[in-house]
Amino acid sequence: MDVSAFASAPEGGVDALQKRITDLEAEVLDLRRQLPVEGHGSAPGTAQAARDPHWHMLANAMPHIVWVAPSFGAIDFINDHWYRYTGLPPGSMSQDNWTAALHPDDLPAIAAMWDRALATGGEVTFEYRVRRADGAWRWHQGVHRPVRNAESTIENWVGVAFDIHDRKLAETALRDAEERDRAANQALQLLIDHAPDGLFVADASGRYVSVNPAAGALLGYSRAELLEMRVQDLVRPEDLERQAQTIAKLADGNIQVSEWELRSKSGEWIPVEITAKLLPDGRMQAFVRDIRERRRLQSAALHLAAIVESSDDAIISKDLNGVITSWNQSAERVFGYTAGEVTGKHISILIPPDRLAEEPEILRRLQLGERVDHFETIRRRKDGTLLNISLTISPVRDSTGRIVGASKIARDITEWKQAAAERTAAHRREQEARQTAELLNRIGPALASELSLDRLAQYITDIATELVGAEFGAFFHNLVNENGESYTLYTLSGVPREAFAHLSMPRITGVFAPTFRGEGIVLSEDITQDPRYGHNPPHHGMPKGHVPVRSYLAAPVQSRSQEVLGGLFLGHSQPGRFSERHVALLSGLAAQAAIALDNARLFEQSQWAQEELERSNRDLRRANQDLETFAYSASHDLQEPLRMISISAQLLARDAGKLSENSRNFLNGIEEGAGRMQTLIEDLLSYTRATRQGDGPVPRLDSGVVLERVLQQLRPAIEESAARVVVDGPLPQIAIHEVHLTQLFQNLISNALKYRSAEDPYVHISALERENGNVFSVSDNGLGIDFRFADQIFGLFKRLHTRAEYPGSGIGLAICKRIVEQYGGRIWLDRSAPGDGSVFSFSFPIEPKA
Amino acid sequence: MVEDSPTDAYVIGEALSACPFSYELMVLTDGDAALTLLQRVEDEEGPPVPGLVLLDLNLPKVSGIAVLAALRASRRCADAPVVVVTSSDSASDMKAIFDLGVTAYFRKPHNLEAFMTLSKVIVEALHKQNPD
Repeated sequence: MDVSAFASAPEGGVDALQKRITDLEAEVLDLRRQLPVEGHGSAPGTAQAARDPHWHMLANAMPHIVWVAPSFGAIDFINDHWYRYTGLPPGSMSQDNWTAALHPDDLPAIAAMWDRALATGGEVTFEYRVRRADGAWRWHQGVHRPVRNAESTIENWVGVAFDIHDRKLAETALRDAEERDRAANQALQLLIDHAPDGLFVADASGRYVSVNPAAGALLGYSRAELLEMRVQDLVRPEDLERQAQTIAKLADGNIQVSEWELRSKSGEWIPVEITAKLLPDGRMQAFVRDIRERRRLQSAALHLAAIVESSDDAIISKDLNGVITSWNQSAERVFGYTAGEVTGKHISILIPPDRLAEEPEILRRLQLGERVDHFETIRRRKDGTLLNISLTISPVRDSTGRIVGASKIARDITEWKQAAAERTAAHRREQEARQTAELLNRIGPALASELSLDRLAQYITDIATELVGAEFGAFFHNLVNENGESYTLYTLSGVPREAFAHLSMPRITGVFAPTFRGEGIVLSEDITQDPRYGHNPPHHGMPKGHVPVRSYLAAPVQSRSQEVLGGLFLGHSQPGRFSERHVALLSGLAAQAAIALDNARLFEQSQWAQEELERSNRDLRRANQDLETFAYSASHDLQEPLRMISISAQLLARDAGKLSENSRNFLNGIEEGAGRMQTLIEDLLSYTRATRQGDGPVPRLDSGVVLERVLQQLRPAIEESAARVVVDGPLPQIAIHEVHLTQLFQNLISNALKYRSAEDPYVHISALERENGNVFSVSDNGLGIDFRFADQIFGLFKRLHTRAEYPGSGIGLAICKRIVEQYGGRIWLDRSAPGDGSVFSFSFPIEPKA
Repeated sequence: MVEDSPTDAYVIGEALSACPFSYELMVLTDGDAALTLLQRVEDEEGPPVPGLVLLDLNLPKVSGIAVLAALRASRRCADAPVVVVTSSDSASDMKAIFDLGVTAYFRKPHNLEAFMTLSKVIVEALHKQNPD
């Protein structure tokens, strides 16, 4: 700022004015030296001198107003200059008109000055205006000085008035100029003090001599600290050379603008822009601007540009006329034009003709400052293909907020659209599938609950026909009868049975093959147009009298084992009636039907099996009865002839004396054979009787009591064998017919006695109560049994010894087994070895107490 | 005696012969013959009412039970003592003969001695009851 420019200043400026003032002051001082001085004697300025004509002459020669007055207003001398200056008639000054050329406004001040002078008796100086001859009021400086006599009494007052008008003007101008200068300087200082930029002033050596607060704030130093530093202290070492060069260039008088990094007190390097110039006095002045924000913005802008370039979306900017101003790589990819091809062209080259009306609307909205978000439309590529595009258009404003254009982000959503369409379709399919599943889930249990194959087949046919909206439905299903023979039945829906009665069964040819072979569902819009249709003689298509089928849908019904249980055939007289949804429905139904058919078949088979089982049981019972009847009749029918043989042999034996030795032996053979046969028959009879008697509840017995009775009966045999028989503790209560338990004990103890050891034989009978039943054991220290025969010994008429060694038919253990098994129990050889005794055990499950 | 087995008839006959009283023994070998004789007795064509009937059950043509039933249903022989001598121990046969009013019953033993003794003891006992 040029602070020395003053609009009203005299030529030469302040300096000249100052000089003029100085000159005038010197002149006044000079004049004042010429004034009569205070004091005594005849020196100028004394009372006498004032009346001295020489002094008067001298005073008259002065170019200033000089007067002498003994008292206020009583001027008795005024020099010629007064008259010359004021233009008043010479000699006209009197006590009455001395104010004639004085400015009326100043008179009170003059009077006051006089009063002060008179009161103090000292010199007074003041200013007032005198009218010059030309009428101009001009400022004068008056100096009134008392002149004292020898007695120091004031005799006169001498006054001098200098025209100080020019000086005063100059002074005023100067004051004004200074005022303005000061204000300007203050403003400048204010500016400097509050400038956002740092201001550094350095001397020629580089030492800072002046810095503003912003400079300190920028770098974190106090003013005092900065003033201790040099310009070299703040730059990076590697910048020192450039700094030196820059300083050197300042000498050219040009302003140097350059970017640096200055080190702050905290050690941070702060990017700055320095505007430096050389001041006339050789000092260097530098404005230092913090450009961190600018750098950041630049960096952000670079990032933004990078983002724009790398975006997958086409990003285009255009001005408000729709002219393209920028074009990123993706725009090139999406639209096929290079940036060079389209920049400067109108955006409408991207718009298909039928959508050109969109652009004005977009521009209108942009001008209102509105954003257009995700506007889905169609745009055209360079090659003419159309794209589904989602547009987001935002107004672009300049720094003043004025809308100058638009940025346009175009996303190619062609694939997205397709995907969305696919998703919608998938969703619809899913919904249909769910509905299908729900429908089938409702049908499933209904199908599954039908166990009659005939009714089930009809049900399946009816449901299938209804589900797919067919006019005709048929279900051919393969069946197997009780004898394992296959045959095929059919059920119909939507068409009377008579309509098919005259037709033969469909053959596994052409159209039908995939269904009967289980290859999959056949869907045909129009079966009469199907390439598989109509190739087979004799009908070459539908036989005469067949319902008129165009739409055709057929599904195999297959079991889980892939066995084709049958085929569902659905038809409609109109073409194109069945869809993929119907395929899904039918497929599901076929699966449900297969399960239901399987179930029904299994049910039927299980019924057959049940009947078979019942038949077998009946047969078994009959066989058992037959056996018992046989055994019974055997006991009679065989016993009777046997008795006859015995009796006859005995009759014959009475006459034995008449027989030869040989004949008597033969007769003995007959008697012995008859006796043995009788034993066998009786044993067989008791074996058949070892059956559970009746269906009523079995009484619970104290097995210990039964055992006591058995031992009583066996006493002769026990005594004969000299065996010790030990019963171990109390025996349990069990549910068994007494006769059976008696037989068990009898047989096992008899065996133990029969096959006893020679020394100290014993038989030990015990019972254990186990979790799942009572276990009885009969142990002995007898002959023992080779364990190989452990199972065999329970067979009917099984013997391990010759009859000569040990008599018996070998039915005892067989009877025991039969009895135990009648009660759901078990008998086994627990432990045995030849010569080491045997342990036979039998168990009965614990039956719930009645 | 109605008995199809000649051996048994011989054994019983021998047992009777040892009895201390006189008698006339007629042996019939099947049920039909027994019914024919009964009819003749009823018709009073000569044969007398029997003092004792020894009856086997298992007979050819007509069973012993049917013969017993006919005897008990007859006019003249309803009260005649009837001893069933059989090898059957069938409960149904037992019930039938007792229901029809058999006088005595014994099973034919396999032992000859026992057969003879039993036959003799029973016949003698019956004779003591009814000496006529």
